[in-house]
Amino acid sequence: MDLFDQAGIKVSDIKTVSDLITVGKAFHAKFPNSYIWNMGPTPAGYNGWEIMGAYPDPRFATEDGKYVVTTNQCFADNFKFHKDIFDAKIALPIDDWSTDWQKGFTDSAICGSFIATWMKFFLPKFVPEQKGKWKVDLWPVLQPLADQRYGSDAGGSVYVIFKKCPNPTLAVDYNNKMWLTKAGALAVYKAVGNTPAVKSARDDFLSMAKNPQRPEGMSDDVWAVQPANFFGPDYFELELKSYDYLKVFNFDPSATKEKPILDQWLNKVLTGAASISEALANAQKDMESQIGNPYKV
Amino acid sequence: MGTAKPVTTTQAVVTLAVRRRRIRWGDALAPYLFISPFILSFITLFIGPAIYSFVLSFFRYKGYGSATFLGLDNYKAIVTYHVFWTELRNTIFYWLAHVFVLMIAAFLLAVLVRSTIISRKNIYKPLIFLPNILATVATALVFQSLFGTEYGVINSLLGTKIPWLQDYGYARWVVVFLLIWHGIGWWFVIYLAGLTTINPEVEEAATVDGASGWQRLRYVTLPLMRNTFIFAFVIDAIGSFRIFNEPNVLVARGGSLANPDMAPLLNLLMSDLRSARFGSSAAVGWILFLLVLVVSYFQFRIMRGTGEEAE
Repeated sequence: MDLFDQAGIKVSDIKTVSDLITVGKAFHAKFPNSYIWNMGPTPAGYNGWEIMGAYPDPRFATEDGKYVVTTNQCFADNFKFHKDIFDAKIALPIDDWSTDWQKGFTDSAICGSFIATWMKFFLPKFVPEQKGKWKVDLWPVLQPLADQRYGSDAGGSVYVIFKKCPNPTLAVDYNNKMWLTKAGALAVYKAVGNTPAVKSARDDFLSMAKNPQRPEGMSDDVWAVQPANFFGPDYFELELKSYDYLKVFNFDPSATKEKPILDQWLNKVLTGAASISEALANAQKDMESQIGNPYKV
Repeated sequence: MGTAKPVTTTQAVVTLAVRRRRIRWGDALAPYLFISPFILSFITLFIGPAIYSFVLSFFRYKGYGSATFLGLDNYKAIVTYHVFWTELRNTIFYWLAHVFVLMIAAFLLAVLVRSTIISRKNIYKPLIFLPNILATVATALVFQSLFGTEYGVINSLLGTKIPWLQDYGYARWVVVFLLIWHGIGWWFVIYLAGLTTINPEVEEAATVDGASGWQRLRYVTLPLMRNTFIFAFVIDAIGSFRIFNEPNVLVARGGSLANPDMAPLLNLLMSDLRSARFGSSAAVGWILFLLVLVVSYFQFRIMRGTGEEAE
């Protein structure tokens, strides 16, 4: 029987952060060695981009280079959400990508995760023996945060083609066809399993995904951990649905410097070394002193 | 058909002098010719980039386009940034917390292995050196598994859930332990080599004079090993100020750098490099260079001074 059912939890009932905490406590009470999530004192940055990406105009600084970390609500809400979850002890206190993380899944200590769709490539490899035991769903709305069905932990991809490369025109054409045409997107899915991002390929892709054919040369083990086999045939329908809620954080050219500063102060909030308002004020101060205008790199 | 002109004595002397001068020039130039490949590559790959990075440290430059002159702004921003001081403190901690234990343990092991107390020395020597041949990153990854909170070997053995790598108060000591474990073999070999340079007759003379084992160590071995100690301490200090892999591999996750509360000073340089802030990154590099210079200078002064006093 499903663990959530055993704990009397309906995922569809989780609408607010309080609901999530209540459900997390109920789950942990039912299964004392298990949690509905994991979160250590140094959470992976992608959780933050997911959460903040759902907000209107999420950005570190205005276009004239003035930092808005203390005034843009997404930052305070992101820190508060992490702090609430961390303090409620509903998440196994280990960080993503630590050596404990994979073992946490294997050991069934981690029985859920709020994460992006790229996890489909990792979870089946972490716990192939748990095939058929995992289900996916859209993120809950999680009020009072901005509607958390929206958001993304990515900022997009940029392909750089050098003018002086042997066939620049051909390279542009190849990329266009591969990613932006129905035939190209379907070919990429067949070759490496990437979900097509173009809407024109959706119907064909879904019919292919519902009746998946094992590619030539793929072993039984690898085939078993393909998303549609591991999570069930409805996986891709839900993944495509999530694309309708795509919103991204407005990264600026200094994001690689801004992100570690934000992470550092989030860690101080979680370990109790700083309050949320102190952390945000200090993060903004650090960005102003160390980066200045983020658009002038 | 002509006949050879007879060579006068004066002509012969001049020819001989010219030949000798040529040979002298050849002798003088030959060494430079032999070392020229190194000199050229040293200038091209070290001196040149060093001068370039020094100039760059006064500019804002993202790796392409034009650079903007900032004067001392990069340096000012660095020394007024609290992370600089935190990471400097961490770096000094990693250095001081491991250096004495490492050096004493490595030296004592070398003395022990060289002594007559130990038999089968050929087994102990490679065993002690073994950790040093393992790549730092690989070792740090193994330590990650050992010190995991939930499923780490240490916690499993102790029956505890100590957050060794999540609480930076503990994690810094794990780094120190890793530095000692990984470095001991290297300094053991250096000290062993240093001990072999001591003339056994000196030690025998001390023994004949009635010196005990401790007295031989204190009054014969240690003073004669002074130069080896200076070398070891200075080189270890330089390496400690450049520490990067151990703390980062142990605690950083998902391709990011370690949290500044745990990170060494080199992280500030790397973080600027990753953000294409090459001017600021160069400035951190030069500050680091100055620190190493100052620390090395004082180590030389203190250790040379101590040695002279002892003599």
